[in-house]
Amino acid sequence: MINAFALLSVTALLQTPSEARSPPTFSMDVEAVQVDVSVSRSGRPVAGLSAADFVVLDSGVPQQVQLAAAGDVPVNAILLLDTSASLLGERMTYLRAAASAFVAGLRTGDRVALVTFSHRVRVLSGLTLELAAVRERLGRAYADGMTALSDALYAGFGIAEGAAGRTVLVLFSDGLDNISWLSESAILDLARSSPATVYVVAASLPGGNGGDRAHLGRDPREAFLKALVGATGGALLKARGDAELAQAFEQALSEMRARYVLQYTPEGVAPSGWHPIEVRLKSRKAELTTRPGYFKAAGPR
Amino acid sequence: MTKCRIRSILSRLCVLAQSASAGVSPQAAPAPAPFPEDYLMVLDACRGGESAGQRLAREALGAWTSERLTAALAGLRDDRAQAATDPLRSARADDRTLSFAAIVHTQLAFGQMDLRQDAAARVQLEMTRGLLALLPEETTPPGLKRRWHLAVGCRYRRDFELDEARRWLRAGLAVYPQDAELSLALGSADELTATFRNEACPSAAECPGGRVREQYLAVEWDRQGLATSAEQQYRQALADDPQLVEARLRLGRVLWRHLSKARGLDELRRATEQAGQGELAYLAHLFLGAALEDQGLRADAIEHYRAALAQREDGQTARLALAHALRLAGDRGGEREALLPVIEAPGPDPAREREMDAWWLYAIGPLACSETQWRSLRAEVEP
Repeated sequence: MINAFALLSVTALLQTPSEARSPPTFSMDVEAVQVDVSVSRSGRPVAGLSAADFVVLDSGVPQQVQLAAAGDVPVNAILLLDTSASLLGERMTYLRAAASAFVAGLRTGDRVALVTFSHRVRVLSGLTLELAAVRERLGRAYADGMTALSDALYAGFGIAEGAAGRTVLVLFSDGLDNISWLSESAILDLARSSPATVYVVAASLPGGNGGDRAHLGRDPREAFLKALVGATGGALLKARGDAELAQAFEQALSEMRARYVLQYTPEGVAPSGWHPIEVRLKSRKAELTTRPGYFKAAGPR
Repeated sequence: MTKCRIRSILSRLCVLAQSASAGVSPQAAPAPAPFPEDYLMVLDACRGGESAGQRLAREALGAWTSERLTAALAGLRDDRAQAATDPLRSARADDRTLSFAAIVHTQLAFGQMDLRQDAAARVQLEMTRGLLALLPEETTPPGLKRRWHLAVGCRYRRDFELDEARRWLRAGLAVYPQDAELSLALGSADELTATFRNEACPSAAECPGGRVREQYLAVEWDRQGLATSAEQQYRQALADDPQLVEARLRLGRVLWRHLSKARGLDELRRATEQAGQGELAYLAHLFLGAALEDQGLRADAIEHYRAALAQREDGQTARLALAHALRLAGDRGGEREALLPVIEAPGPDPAREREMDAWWLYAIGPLACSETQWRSLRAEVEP
């Protein structure tokens, strides 16, 4: 039920020897746009669609699209895990197990990066094909300190921008942020121009196992997480308790797999600025989730 | 009649005469509290390190009830009172012993706070306060009482128990009204409270009407009051110690964020001039950069973020601030270069893990609140 887009580039700033063996999935000579679309009906993914089934409007202008790949295209998964002091004890064990199961569920050709954060952002692994090594590194994650969610997201988007191909950022968080330098609005701006789709596995949110501010009618923490996934065409997956974390991570994985990646070279639209995009099916009824648009920066100064 | 008997009678007569002159009947004079031999024995077993036996002794003392500790304190107090009136004897628990006891109880309290045993921690702290009251002002180590108030206030502040932090810091200021570090710590508790996010409404524009709006306005009103209180404390700290650059820095930030952009900028500029080198200079440039960026002066802001990084090359916060400002300026290559050290996989690097960004320390509390200060006080009392 999610969708994302990407401006393609062949940047490979963070490549390691193991990464160099992995051919960039979508490398092209010209700038193209990828639209990552989730199609579902009554909550179930709709399979078997082709490019001809989709209509894509970029700034209101219909585009000629191809189906770059269905959901089985290799993916760059950036795991961004809140390991602040609230995770001390058993919660950390659940988180390690859930994240490890997520990595185990990735396929050959997928790459994964592992970032944990408290007040400090710790990149335990850059994007790599060596999934087993990343699972091993999860064992090094430990809980401490305060929470710099926005700062960690900036780092996560930074890794995403250096990656070639389809990229998802899987964030585990309760939305609490008590020491970030960067603001939420700065992160939302970044999300709108990032190629990554964000999935949030959220713990302890109202509707999950916390609801202490439900009387106020809104929860700013959840509002931010919703805005984040909305800006990137991602999904907010709530875990009602620690024991449900594994299930939520698994859901993120299956959502990721059940997507269509559409691709087009923009025509008849402005070369830079905000590009609203709209995706629909030509003849079938279904729920489509995609990012609302993308931001294309002006050429190099 | 023996000589002893005669001496005893004379002594009683003397007590009766003293009571009569004080207008108190002899029957009303309370008997001195018994000297707490058991307390001193446990305390003595705590001395000297962290062996299993010493840990057990500390645990045992940590389990003493409020009543038992109060009784022990009364015994120590009466022993001191008797020693004060009898030139032939001295107090059985000397100043060094009581100083050591104060440190032990405070350490127990901090451990209980770690475990969220707040009521038990308060008992330990009240015992410490009672012990310190028995000590003369000129204690060893110097400034024990003042530093103890600061340590307890700072600890509560670090734990975001801000009302408790204020209570202890104000108690310290009541005794030491011109102590710049206590004023600084108190101001920082107010500053922290003023920065709490308004959970009801992030901004006036987004705030609905009715009760929620009233709540919003109340929070904002409080915020102004707290920021003003913080400003006053920082000004007081600067009046008491004009060289306390951290007070200038915090003053600038609280003004800029909550009260007056222009006055805040002025103070932040002065802070960068006074800060010299190191953590305070890092923060001064970081804060001034943010203020300038807020004013739309991005190029100047970038310069200050770079100046902050010159102080601490590994400063994560300055790197993020610089990267973001460069991004907004359209310099994506520069952004990448600034960000790369943060997003590179560093591998196991314990040295890097030990480095604390000064922004995190600022959020935890004033530099005078650092653990190092408390450890140093402990080391002076427990050599």
